[in-house]
Amino acid sequence: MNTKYQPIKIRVTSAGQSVKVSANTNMLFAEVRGLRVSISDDRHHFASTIGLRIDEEEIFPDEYETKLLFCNQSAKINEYFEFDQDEFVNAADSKVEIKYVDGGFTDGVTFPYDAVLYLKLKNPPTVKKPNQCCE
Amino acid sequence: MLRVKKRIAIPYQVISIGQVIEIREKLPTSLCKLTGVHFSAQGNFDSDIEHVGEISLEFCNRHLHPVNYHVGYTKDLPPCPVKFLPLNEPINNRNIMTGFYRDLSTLAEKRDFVPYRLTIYLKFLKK
Repeated sequence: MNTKYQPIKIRVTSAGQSVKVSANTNMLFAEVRGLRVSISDDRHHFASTIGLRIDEEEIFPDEYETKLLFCNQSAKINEYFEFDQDEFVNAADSKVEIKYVDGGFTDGVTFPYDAVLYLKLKNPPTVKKPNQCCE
Repeated sequence: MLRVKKRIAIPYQVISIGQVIEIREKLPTSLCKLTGVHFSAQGNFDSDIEHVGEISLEFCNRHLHPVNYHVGYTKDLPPCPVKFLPLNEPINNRNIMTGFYRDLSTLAEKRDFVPYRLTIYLKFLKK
């Protein structure tokens, strides 16, 4: 298997709440090649922020707005995930630390809700030897 | 080729009409190239605003002035992860970012001023 999309769920129970979540990346995959944030009600993106560290390396600072990592269903599939073409983070069984802060928007929205951080995990392609069709 | 990237987010509160914010931020010394910038205004605006404010940024002891731009606001979420304005500017050890931000949110249309948060996003390559 070369690709896996790993979700990390963040449950928010009240407006303005700060939530810290820790998880580990899947040990079978070597790299994080993209990230995306999905929230059950889009209005919760208002002023919400997410800080992310992988193996204590800061990927997004705490002030990073979740709307910069949002993607709606009508976008092209290859635009779903944030990371540049040549960018990845080493991450085999790596510790993921998330600090999510709800923006405090309360007009017509309900609590609790779930924010989900999706990690796009990949393994680097293997190099085939001559006369080898598959492994 | 692996490129180690660093993202920085710097928030400011804009609390009065026509406010001018002097920007002066020390950046980490591990950075070698500025590859992108993005600006975000977040407030309880009642409609889209094309020019919320004007921003100007300088780097490397004011030898580099890559950005003089207008920040906009839209109520709708972007359709896909936001792309930064691309840049390709080497950064030296004089890692202080300077510049200014000027509020223009009530200039084009008559509206009540709404306090908001301006966030400057920077993307760098690390040494």
